Amino acid sequence: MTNVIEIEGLRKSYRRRGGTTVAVDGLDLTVPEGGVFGFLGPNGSGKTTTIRCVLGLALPTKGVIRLFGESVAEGLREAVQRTGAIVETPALFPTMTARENLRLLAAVDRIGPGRVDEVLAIVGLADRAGDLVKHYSLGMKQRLGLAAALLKDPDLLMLDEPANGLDPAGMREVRQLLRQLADDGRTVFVSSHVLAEIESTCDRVAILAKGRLVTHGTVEEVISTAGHRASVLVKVDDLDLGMWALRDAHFVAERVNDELRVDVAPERAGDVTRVLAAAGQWVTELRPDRFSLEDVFLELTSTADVSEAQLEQVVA
Amino acid sequence: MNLLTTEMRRALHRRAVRVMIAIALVGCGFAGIVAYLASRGKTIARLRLDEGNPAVMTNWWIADDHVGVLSVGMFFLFLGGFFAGATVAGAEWRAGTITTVLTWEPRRLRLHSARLTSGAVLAFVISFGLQVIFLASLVPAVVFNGTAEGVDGSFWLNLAVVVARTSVITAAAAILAMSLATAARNTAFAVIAMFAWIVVIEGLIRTLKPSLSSWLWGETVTTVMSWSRLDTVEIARGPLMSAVTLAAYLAVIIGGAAISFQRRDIAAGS
Repeated sequence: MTNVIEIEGLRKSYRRRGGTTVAVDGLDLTVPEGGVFGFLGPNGSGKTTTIRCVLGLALPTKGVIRLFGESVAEGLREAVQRTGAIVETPALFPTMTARENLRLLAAVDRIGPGRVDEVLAIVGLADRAGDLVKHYSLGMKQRLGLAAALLKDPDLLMLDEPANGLDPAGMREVRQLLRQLADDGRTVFVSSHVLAEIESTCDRVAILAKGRLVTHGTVEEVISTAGHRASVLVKVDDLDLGMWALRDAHFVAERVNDELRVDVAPERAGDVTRVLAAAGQWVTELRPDRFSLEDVFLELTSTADVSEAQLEQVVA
Repeated sequence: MNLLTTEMRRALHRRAVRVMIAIALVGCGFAGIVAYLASRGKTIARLRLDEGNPAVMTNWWIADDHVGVLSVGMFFLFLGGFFAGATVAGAEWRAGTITTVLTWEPRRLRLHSARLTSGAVLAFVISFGLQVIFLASLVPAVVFNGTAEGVDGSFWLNLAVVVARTSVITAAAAILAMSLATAARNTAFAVIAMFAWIVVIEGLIRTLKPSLSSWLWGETVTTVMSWSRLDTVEIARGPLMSAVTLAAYLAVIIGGAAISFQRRDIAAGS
């Protein structure tokens, strides 16, 4: 499998009054071809700075970045022709219509007007293509940015927080679109701090905290690094009765939403069902209480080594 | 070529540019009406006595004196070119569209050159067109009330040269403003810096060190516009030397802006 993005030892620091701010510190990352790659991290963890460096918008202080095997420092033009991107909020001319904005961009790469209408339809803006962008909601601007990124029919899509400003239905549409684009053979690199947006869509993820990579791999691999909780979740008809039955049998059980969490290794789940059956409570669902990507994300980003990789590290 | 035409279309979409063109067109129409009304009912002899009356066509540009009706618009065209250039370049930074464009054309010097070239071409064409429209608005005064006597080939040639020269200066103003706005990533900076320099700094230099006046932007641009040596300056320079000086100043500012655009990061909100 070839890598679309290769980052080795990326460091990006900015001079500020009174010192230097390190935004990204020694980042090594490879993004394989195909699939959706989630680039996760809390606000200010260095995601956008990394994307800016990959796209040549910011010059790395140190490190090497290759896009489609070409060094960004030398062969950026060729690589960018195969890349569609949204960096932060999609910026387009507010006093032009959506169609005019896209046609102007398309003209740079000799892309015909037919493709403009095609991408407007893909993102669901065909009916509003003649409206001035200044009258668009944030969600519509986000869709328009996505349309602009799709214009080149790119092999790689780099999307920085693409669901910003979208309502739940819009978020779902974007997730489906990203999945569809990846299934068509493209590589979709999407940065986000909204975990729900990522977990169901991504094939692989990398988690960034305070300018450093804390983990990466497939979603399953990343979740498994956190291990499993020694508990199971059980559904029965009468939760209170079930809980007291378990407690009488010396299990630690608590009610969580519409199910019971029982502190017991999943291998001993049979003991739980036996106790509940004896109390007349038939188990309708039983599953191990897994960590979610969000749990892993919160744990890793909150425990990342702050002393060495502070985002706002000030070097006097 | 694609980039060039794209940048031109982008610039023409700026509302400020369109408003300035509209104001200039209204001004041209107004000037035509005033010229017609002011010359109505007057004899040709009387019109000739009025200094620079546009109903007498030879007053449009008097080559020997380097003055004429066209002088009126030169200053406004320079200012218009400057404001338009500043707003076109500055707005890209304010709206963040520069980031979007760079994800399509990452070769920054190429992009910068295309933008400056498109700005210069547009400023030249618009300035040329507005001057032609301005002169055309004076035609009714000439035809119905005045005279075209004395108009010959050399008059038209001189007129064309003046219109072209003014258009070149308008283009230079646009490039200057675009460069300043690009370097500072801000429209207001370009306008304020230019205003402060021309009015405050050059005013001080003129008062405290008059011998340096011929090096100032104000004197240099005025000399090139009128294409005659200024009598008001202690050590006046000829128009050709002034044009070379102006070109050198521009080259330094354009070069500085290009280096800044090439080297600095395109950061959020920059």
